Amino acid sequence: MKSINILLMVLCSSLAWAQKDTTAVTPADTAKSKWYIPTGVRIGTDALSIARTYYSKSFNGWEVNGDVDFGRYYLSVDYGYWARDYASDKGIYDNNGNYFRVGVDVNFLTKDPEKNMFFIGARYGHATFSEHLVVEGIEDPVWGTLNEDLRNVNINGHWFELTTGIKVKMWKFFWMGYTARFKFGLGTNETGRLVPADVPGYGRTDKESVWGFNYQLFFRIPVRKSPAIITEKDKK
Amino acid sequence: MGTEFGLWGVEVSLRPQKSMKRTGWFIFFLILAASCLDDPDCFQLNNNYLGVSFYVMGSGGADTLKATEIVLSGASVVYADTATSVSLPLNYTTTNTDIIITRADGSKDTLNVTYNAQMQYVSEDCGSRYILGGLAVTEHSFDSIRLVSDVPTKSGGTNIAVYRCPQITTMGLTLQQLYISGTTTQSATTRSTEFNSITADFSGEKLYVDKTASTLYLPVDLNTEKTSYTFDFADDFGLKETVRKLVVNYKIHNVERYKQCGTQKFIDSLYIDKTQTTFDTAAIALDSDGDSLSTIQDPAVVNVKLLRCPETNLTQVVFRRPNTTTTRAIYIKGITMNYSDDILYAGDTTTTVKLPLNPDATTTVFQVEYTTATNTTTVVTTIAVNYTVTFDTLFPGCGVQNIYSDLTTATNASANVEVLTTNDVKFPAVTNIAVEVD
Repeated sequence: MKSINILLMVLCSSLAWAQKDTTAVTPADTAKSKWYIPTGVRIGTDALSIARTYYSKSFNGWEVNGDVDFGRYYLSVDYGYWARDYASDKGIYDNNGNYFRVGVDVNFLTKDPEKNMFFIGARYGHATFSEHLVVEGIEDPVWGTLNEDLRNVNINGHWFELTTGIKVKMWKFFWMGYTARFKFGLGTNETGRLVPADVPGYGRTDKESVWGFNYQLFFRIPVRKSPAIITEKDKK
Repeated sequence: MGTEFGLWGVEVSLRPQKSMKRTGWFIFFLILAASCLDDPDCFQLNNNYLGVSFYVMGSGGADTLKATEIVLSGASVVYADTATSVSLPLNYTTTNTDIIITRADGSKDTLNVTYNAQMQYVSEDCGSRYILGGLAVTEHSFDSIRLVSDVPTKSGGTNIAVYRCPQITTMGLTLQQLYISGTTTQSATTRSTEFNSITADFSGEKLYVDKTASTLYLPVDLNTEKTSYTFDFADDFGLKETVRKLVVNYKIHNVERYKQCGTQKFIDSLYIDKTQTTFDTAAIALDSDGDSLSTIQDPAVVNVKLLRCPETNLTQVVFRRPNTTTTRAIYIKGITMNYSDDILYAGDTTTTVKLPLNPDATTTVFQVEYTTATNTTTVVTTIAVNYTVTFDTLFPGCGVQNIYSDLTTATNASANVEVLTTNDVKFPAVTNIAVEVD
């Protein structure tokens, strides 16, 4: 599993590092001038969370995403809600909570005049959530009938992510994109007998690392004009 | 319009080209496939097994637990077997389990452990699992223990190593058959032997009564530096006398090697008293490095080898269909010899027999009475062979032995008897004679 994770990250990185500009040339004085002043704010939501809420009986959630550019660097913030509800003859488990992620993306398509993105980034994630587990009448051949009713209330979880993805301008202010997340380093602060099984924003806890995926729809609000980019075609 | 970037030289365009879509879908399905591998496995979810392994102090080898009963927290009972380690289910509904082990000799040991027991939901299919950790031993009655790992396992593994004081009381012996492999290579192989009894003379205790064994474990006398044993063989072990004596001498040392055990007796410098031993071929065994195993150890090792000299006069006879090499089973009523009153193989059904040549002559005659599956009339075949007898020392411990070679058919042999080209007697026996059976 780890090898697959690494393969994917390397693949995505390779796409970026192999980038070569064949059409656009940015004059040094234009590119460097006030590069750190944002040109716009993107606000969006995760379409997959909405779809899962609609189609899945065990999931309920939403997520909003936003980023703002500082040259090729983007401050990225996500905030969301996530609830699980599983029930079977082997027990009942439910959880719910809010989470946020904050981090930076690095855009590798710096010469694109429309500011389309292929990015690699990092996030810090934090969740506050509650969970409840009920087990009734499970028979153990040695220790008899098992009955448990355990809760964690308002406990915290935090983790780190490596991200990669694209964001593409579709029409005027409307953008689409996806983000793949490699999540790792989960820590939780429960003190009772119940070990968290699912952390909102992170996912299952029984692995050292997990993958996440968002398909996002954005609305971009421009706040100033982007610095002009002169292409080879313009030069001629 | 748009920026192009490449994957190892393959150029793809971010927008609005098809190749970018392909790349995106490729990554998407890779992630999807990877996520499918995350489905949990429901087998043995709880890590509530305590692995206990048994050792003897000062020995790298495992000790054998012969338990008749293992009781866990009073109510639950596990009937154990003979083992060098056991895996015991801990009570995960509480944070402690009390273990009582009853040994085959009636002695009991206790082991009380505590631990943390947490619970985690796994999936709708699997339900939940218990996660145990922080294992600690609060009380025990063993000579010594060591906590190897404080995380109980799902199965197997060792959490606690139990050590007992060594008890230097038993010597190991093995019984082996000497033979010649190939033409000249001397070898020995373990041989099971039937005993009437073996008596430890210092106690009078009779051991291995009516038992068959190839490896023996016999008590040594800790009060004197000498022990003698009387072997009463049910088979002759290649000896003319079925009762034989083995006498071993050794040195006893009173030493405190382990604080938990106090002063104990240890035995080394074991050797065979050949003046009183009536085995021709008893020797101190060697370890894999060729060093003499002259120290009595716990767990017991084989210190002494008792070697059986090869029977050099056994010629093998095969019964086969006429003019073929296909063997044929016969029902033997009896095989008699011209130099002994013994009747061999009476009542056996077989395709081959091993017959002893007369060591005091150069001709031996055997009369074989038999029937077959298709012919119930008793047939008598005379196997008469001439041979040459020479003398040689095959094994130093066996002394000079008769060597039989150049077998030929004697004139009074039946017409259906043929001596084969392999006409020298070997050890182990090879087929020298063929008898054609209609």
